[in-house]
Amino acid sequence: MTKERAKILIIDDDPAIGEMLKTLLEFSNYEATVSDNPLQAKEMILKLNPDIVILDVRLSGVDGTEVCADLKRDDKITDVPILMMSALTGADKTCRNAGADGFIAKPF
Amino acid sequence: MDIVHFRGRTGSYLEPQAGKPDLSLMKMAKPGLAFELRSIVHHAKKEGNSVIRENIPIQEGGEQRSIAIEAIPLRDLAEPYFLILFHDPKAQPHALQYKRVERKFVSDEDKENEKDILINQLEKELAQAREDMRSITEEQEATNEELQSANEELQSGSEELQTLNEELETSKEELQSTNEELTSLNQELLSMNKNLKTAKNFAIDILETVREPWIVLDSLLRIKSANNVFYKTFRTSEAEIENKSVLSLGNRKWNLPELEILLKKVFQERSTIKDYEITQEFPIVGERTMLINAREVIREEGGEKLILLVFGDITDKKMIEKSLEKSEFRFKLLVETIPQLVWITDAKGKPEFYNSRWKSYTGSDDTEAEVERWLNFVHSEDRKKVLDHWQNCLETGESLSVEYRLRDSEGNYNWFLAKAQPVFSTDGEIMKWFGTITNVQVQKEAGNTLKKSSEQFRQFTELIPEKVTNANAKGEVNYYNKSWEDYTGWSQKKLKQKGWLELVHPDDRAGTLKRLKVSVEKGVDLEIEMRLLDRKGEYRWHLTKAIPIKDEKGEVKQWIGATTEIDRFKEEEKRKEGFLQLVSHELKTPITSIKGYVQLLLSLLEQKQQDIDNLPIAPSLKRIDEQVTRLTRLISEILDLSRIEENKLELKKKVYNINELVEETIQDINRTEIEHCIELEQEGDFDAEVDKDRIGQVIINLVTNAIKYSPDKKEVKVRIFESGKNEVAVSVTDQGIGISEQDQREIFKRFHRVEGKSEETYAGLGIGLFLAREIVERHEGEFIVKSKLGEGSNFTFTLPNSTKNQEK
Repeated sequence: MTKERAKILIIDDDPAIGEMLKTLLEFSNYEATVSDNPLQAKEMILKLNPDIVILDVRLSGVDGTEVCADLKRDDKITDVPILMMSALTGADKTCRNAGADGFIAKPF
Repeated sequence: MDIVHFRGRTGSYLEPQAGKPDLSLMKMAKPGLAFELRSIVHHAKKEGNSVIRENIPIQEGGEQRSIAIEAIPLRDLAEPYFLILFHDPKAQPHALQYKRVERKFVSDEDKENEKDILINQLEKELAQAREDMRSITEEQEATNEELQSANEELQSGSEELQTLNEELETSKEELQSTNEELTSLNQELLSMNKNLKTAKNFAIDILETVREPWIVLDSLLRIKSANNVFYKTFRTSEAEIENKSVLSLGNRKWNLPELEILLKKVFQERSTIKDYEITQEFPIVGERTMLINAREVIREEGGEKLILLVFGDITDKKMIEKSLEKSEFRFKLLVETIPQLVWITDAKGKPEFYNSRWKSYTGSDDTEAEVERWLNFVHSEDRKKVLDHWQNCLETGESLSVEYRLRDSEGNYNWFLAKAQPVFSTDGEIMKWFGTITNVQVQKEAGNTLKKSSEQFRQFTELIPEKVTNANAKGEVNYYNKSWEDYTGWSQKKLKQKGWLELVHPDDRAGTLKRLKVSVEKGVDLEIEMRLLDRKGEYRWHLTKAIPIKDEKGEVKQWIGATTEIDRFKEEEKRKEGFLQLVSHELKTPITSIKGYVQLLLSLLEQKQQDIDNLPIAPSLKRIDEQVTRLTRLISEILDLSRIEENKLELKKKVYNINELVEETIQDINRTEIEHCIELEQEGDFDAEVDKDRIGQVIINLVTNAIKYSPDKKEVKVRIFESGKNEVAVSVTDQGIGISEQDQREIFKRFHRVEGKSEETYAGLGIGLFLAREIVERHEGEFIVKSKLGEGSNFTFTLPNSTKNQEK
């Protein structure tokens, strides 16, 4: 019996990244869901209950760090670890300040 | 006819008149007798003989008798006298009385007196008397006339006499004075003689004590005597030279023919030798220059002719003269070679000398210039100033320094600086004035040029839009140009009062001050960016650059600063910054994707246990390919951007059919799996000369924008139509978010992206529209946008038709 796969929620507006990550993670035996709508992030987290959320700093129309901070403020979600990605190497500070649990720089 | 002598008793015939005593015969004659007397005397005078008249009646003591009167002219006497005799019978016999009536004698003899005889006599006499009277009257008249003329003659004679007298008087006086003169002259002569004598003695005494060497020669030029000084000077003695010829002195060195001739001449012609100069090598004393003066002197006793020779040693004087000549030569050389104009005046300012430069500059000749004539070379406007200064200097002895324009030989004026100093004698009196005049035209011009360029600078700074300041060496601003006033809304006065630092944004102030301080201290250029408050109360970014102006010593004299508004640049900088971030992100994204797939494949391939068929090789590679395309496009966009920046964008134009071009492009876009539906409306068939790829780019850009910015409404309409004459238009319309009016202006700016909540919102580089417009405009077309926020947008570009179209 296969172990229950860890669930990962990917929030990124660019399909190039989103799809790639999904494929990559699935091949690594993770259950990955891609969402390109940051506004529905809360909903999706609550519904999916992922083990980790990968959140891009740059989202169309929305600042990723704000989303992160917003999520972290929510008691229900606050425990969920959020990993933020960005093409800007210097952004890890802002991400951490926003409450991110981890940071990864693109390309990785 | 005055009586001069009385003899006898004449009382009967003559009677003194009352009043002053009068001896006139006629007056003294008793009445009745006067007439007779007159007649008788007249006849006597006339005939020159004695005349007697008898029976002249007289009345005396009641009795009447006759007498006779006789008049006798006396000839032998020096002067004419008349003797008047009264023959009277009654006369006393013992008394012979003679009466001189005007030197007339009168004697009374006969006393016979008979009445008849008397009457007859009387009648005769009367007739006679009448006749006499007549003749007398005639004579009297004649005499009167004679008297008159005689009077006149006398008068003139007396006048002449008077004048003669006067002349005589003056002559007398002259004679007197001449006499006096003579007397005094005499006295003078006497005293002079005396003086001469004393002088002579005195002279001899002097000669004996005089410092100059002298010798006395006789007619044979032998030395008769010499003074001690001579012996001393020439180191000789009486024994050596006495009676020796002067020409034999100094081992015959003195044997100069010229001297001999001159000396002989003194004797022969009594001439003198005056300042005869000889330079001789004297034994023992060496070479000396002597002035010889000689004259003849005569010894009193014996009258012997001698010559006195006096020697004046001018050797030293000669040396001084020579050195003076030398220094004068040097002076002249100096004065003639220096580039200044030089002049010398006497103490009163009268010119004595002008150097040749003065003359060649002014073209003035060598003739004497009067005090004011040099003034003619001075510019008329400067004359008063110069004269006033000069007068003041002459009076006070202060040195002169004045600038004025001087006319040259061609009539041009140049600026000169005249300086003069007084030269003092040993008693502190001013003897001369030395002056130099230096050409300062260049300096003046430079000064003027400087002034002019200073003014031009001012004018310039007032016009340019840059804000310009001028500050002193300490950096304190003393001038703000007009742009400052316009920007800040402050007046020049307020600006100077408050200072520009007040306008600097508080956050930038410290940094600005610090940099300012460093620059001022070290004298290095200043460059600061800061925000300045404008008149509307907004802060805008400025770049201030200031440079120091240094003098010849390298010391800072002033600062010039220029402040430029760089708000736009700053904005663009920010956009660029944002753009670069964007670029970086946009490039990294496809790369991340590619890398991801590659890594996936690599790791899967490594795993070996996997079935190759299961490996998602094809899809991964496909993705990779897509991403590479995306990357490529991005890169070329960036390249285009840089090319536009450097104006190197090249267009390869050829005639294409626009309709076909648009169709093809839309097909390409459709292949990229979009959700939108692109509708194409073609209102005509158009050709145009275009760069196919570039116009393709434009269409792609517009369409992809339309797609990007209308995420909800999925329809995009593309229309091709004729707009205006010879123009084809392509328009792309979407129902998307639209563009606000403000943004409509902004969207064409480089790096601009429509703002969302942050700057990193919509994907893409944001150079698309900028490029698109560039490309269209390079095709000589127009780019138009019509949009309303929330109501979609319409982008249209036009291209000029190619002529082929017309023919169609």
